[in-house]
Amino acid sequence: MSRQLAFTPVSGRGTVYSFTVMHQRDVAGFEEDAPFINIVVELEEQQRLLMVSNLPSAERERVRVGAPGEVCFENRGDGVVIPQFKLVRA
Amino acid sequence: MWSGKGRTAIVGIGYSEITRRPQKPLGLLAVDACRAAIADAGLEPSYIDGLATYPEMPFAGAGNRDGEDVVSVMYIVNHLALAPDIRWYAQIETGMIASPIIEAVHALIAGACDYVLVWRALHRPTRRPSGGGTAGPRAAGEAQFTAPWGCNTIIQWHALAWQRYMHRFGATREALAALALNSRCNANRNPRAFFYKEPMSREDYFNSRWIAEPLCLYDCDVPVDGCVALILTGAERARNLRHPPAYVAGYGQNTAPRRTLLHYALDDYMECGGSLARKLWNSAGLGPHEMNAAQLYDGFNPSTLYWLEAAGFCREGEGGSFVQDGRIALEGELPVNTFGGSLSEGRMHGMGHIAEAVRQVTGRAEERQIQGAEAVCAIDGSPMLRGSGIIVTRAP
Repeated sequence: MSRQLAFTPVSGRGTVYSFTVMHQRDVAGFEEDAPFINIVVELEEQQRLLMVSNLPSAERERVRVGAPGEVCFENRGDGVVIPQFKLVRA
Repeated sequence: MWSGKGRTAIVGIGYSEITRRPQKPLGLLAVDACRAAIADAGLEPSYIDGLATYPEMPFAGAGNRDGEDVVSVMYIVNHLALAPDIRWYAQIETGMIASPIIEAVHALIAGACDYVLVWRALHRPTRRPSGGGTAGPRAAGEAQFTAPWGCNTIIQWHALAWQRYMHRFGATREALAALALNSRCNANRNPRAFFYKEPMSREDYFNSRWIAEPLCLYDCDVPVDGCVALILTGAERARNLRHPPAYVAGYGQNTAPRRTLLHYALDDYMECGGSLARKLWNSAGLGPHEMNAAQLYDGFNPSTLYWLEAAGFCREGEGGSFVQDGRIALEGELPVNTFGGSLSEGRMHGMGHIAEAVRQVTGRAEERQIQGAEAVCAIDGSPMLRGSGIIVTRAP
């Protein structure tokens, strides 16, 4: 493992490493969204290079471990933009 | 083998009421448990000259008021007439439930004190301020990588790990059902258990509501208010007390580095859990197959399964089949969580596991007694994160 740390551009492509559907209204700021989906995406550049994301509830039946995904960006307002992943066809 | 093996013992157990509707503040429940443990050992409070606890709040962002949310060393000093000079104390930050016991063992062997009182008090907050205290528009530190997506509660991380486990090993929810049903069945023989009088069927398990899919209500421990306390002393003194001693034969704590801090990456569980288990078995000179029972942490149900594998009771990926066919039942090959676990006794955060290990090797396990139990381990924590464990034995 290198000690030379640097920012490197990545493709924004990866696969679903795992996912969960949160039903409990227990997450600050997300109480009204429950049930909502979280996925963890493993980027194609490196094993265990993981990012957390959401998926729309409509994707519940499609999401599975290993499904390919691609980054998109969500504007949350007030100048806040966060990366999200969407499922894509293999 | 560890030179301290068998030189100290657990000689007293005390429980407060375990309840979801406490009639008194947590501090007074802790005093109840401490008094009960001292009496159980056949001692008076004035004998206690050492104190140790792991006082951490039940989750990040919960309250931290002494005597209501947590119970510190100074709270107990202020509310119990202990020895006029407390000679030693420790308040543990790192590690987990067995860690104050491990420190107490060290203190006793070093001659720092004669009788140590160890307790763990757990409060169930009525409103969960959730999300690691990250409510609001900004998240910092590790939470910046999870909170913006609402993925920052511990159960979501466990759900992610369990989903990955099922994918990797082809396991199903049947494994978790077997564990939950085993624990409930054992709790029905434990008068201190929250679910003492409530049996659970397979249908009850599968019909329970989702919390964080694929984990359901009965994959979570029961949040309660309560306290468990234990008394430790040196082996010589231990032989003259009220009950037979449970000798501390060995211990281990998890010190492996984690590969990701973002959530519980399943890939870490064998390495991290193994780092604890290696020390546990080596210190006692005993192996998993010499245990007459295993009390394995179940704050969330899959942890027990991971510990079965990481501690070497079965091979990696085989936990799901290991827990079937009655193997982990009281009369099975390896009884697991013989008191009902945190799932069914209540969230005593691993102290219930240790208390039960003591009961089993001292013949005090009531209707749950395993005949001829010589050695039992209690391991707390999640193998992906942190943990601590001890082995207690009937003989030194």
